[in-house]
Amino acid sequence: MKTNISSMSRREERYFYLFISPWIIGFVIFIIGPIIASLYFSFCNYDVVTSPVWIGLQNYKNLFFDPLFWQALKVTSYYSLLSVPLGIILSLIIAILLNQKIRGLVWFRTIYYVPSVISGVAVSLLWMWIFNPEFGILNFLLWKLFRIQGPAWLMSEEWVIPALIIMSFWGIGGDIVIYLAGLQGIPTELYEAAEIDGANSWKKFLNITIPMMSPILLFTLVMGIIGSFQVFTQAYVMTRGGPHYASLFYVLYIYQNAFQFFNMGYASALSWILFIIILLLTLLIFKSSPLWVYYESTKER
Amino acid sequence: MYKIKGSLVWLILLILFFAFFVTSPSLYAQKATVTILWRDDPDEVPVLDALITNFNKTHPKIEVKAIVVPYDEYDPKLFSMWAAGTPPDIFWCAAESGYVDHAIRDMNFTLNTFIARDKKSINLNDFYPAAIEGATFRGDIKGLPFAQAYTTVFYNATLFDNAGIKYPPTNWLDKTWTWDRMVEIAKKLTKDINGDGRIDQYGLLDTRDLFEIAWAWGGDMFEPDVYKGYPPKKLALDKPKNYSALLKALQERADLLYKYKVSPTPATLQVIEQMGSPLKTGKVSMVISGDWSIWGAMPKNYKWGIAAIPYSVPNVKKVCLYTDPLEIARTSKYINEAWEFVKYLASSESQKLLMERTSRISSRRSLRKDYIEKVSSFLVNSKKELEEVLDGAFRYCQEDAEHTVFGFYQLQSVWTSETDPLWLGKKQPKEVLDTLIKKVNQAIGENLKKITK
Repeated sequence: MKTNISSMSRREERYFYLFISPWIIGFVIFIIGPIIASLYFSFCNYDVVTSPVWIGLQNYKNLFFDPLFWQALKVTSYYSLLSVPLGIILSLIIAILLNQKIRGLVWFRTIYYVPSVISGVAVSLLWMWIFNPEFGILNFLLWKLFRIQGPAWLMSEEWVIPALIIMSFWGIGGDIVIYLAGLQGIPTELYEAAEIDGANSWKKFLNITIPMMSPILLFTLVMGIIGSFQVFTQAYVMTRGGPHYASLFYVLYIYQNAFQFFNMGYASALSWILFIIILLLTLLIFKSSPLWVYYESTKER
Repeated sequence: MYKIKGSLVWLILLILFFAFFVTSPSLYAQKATVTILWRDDPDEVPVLDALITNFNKTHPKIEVKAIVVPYDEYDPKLFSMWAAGTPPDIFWCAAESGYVDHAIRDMNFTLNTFIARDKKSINLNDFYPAAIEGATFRGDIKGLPFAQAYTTVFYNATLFDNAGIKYPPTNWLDKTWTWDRMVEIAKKLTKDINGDGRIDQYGLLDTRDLFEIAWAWGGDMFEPDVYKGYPPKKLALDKPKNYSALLKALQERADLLYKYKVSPTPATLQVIEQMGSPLKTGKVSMVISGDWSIWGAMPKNYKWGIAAIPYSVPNVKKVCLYTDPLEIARTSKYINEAWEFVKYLASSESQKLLMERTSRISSRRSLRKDYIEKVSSFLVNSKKELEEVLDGAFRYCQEDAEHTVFGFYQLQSVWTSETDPLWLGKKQPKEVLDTLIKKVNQAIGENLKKITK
């Protein structure tokens, strides 16, 4: 009997590897392979066509003296610093509103989610029209409603990033759906108990909703930061990094170096720096999470 | 149980057996497969397909296959196919990298011996000398042109008629045809038609790149040997003559936007371009550009014309010529077969078909009269006038720096970014030019390091 079970489990193990093998092979060849290769290339002078030449840390040294590297870092951090928290606050507010018991709620939920289904390129082209300083609907409305002469948006060094941040709210539907699920998972008895104790709405929000939602907020914060550091499509389609490098996002700069200037070695070094930055930020958030994230199951044990 | 396992083994063996034959065509056919990398231009691709079908029919031992990719992916695809050790046998400077970039990386095969061997069937003298010049790297011919593009003035004749203005001259040596006169005409053609305080019709759009306007104003951004395939060591703008020419040119271009207000600003141009090719939208009266402004169908509600480039400074005429030379991969397994197809694409017969279907001009002189015949059907100019314009465009020309200057695209992206504040009306030409020179020279230095290693 004993041997029977072990032979069965051995067979099961074999089948496990057999069935998972397409994924493992794909993962090793198409993901692990390129990652290791890019680490190697980052120490090389490599233009894709001629074979790579080892130059040690030269790419990494060059990077620190490259003003465009710092510009890309500045642009990306600026965008990330504003778009992530604003996006979270906005989608949380909308999610709470959508969690109320009012008529036609299903429609509102759908409407808010629909934009996030549209592809990035199409959205970018659409927003180029919206933001056009002379013919765009945004400046038209600003003038008609408030008599404000709108800025040049994508054609202004100062306004291009705020414009792209505004545009990023177009895709908050995804987060709203996650928050809605989270809100619906909060037990109603907590609110009822609070009401008996005489808590007002604001207190309930601060002391029940926020703590109960904090694991979800952690998740969206981490994903949001990773996503914001990888912004590419908008910049590639709408501004090509301009005007005057004002929207030179980090990944766009990697792309330019890799596929337009054929500095594949340098682009690999840039990618590894980006990886380290994202890793550090994520670690920082996770390390700080015990301070502000509340897990119901682990508390007081 | 064993039965099932047994049949499974047989099934797998059977599949492997067939897969082997399907994936190794060389076992049952002695055909050389030649691949050609093309961009997904909707007008060009059907012509290419027709030519391939024709060629494959008459060459039973060669099979040409086209790999068609979007314009933006052309260079990444070319370079990554190369990195993978499976380069396309035939390619060209369809996107940003030029044949000089390819030559410096030793990617393209030198065609001198082939051309000498087949001189009768090719008839090299039939090509425009500038076209062959535009495929030559340090004395070696690296490609055979299958088409050209030229630079001149294209205009909307209906807008001239409406304003009662005479069409611009076609003679390149007409001394009265100056930049100032062109600007004067542009002012008359710039109009706010519906009176809402916004301009609806612009006089002039000059799409020439910085190196082209430097030429036009009598200067040059690069030393002469740079155009022959020797990597630039720095910009030639430290020479006062070149510097002042480009400075003047930048000032003139900025004046079109903000002083005379005859050209659309970047914001307006973005909207116009989303409607289509600026000339074809009817919003712009005159365009200085490559002849792609009149490729494809022209809107029927307007009449069209072409004219000579005006004198920006006395006695100087120099415009950009765009040559499309077909290159053969140096590491190709089928160099001879690829050459057969390159010859076929560059032949009169193929170039004529391309011209008829796309209005692209041929790089063969003997086909110029066919070109004139074709475009004169929708232009207001007489055939003699067209001949005059083309004569100038191919006489006072030099090959596109994008094709002939090593690492051009990276340098261009630097000066495009640096001139943004000028076109947006935020900075003055001198300030922009001075930083531009510094930044481009830095990029040139980085490029040099890459190839000296």
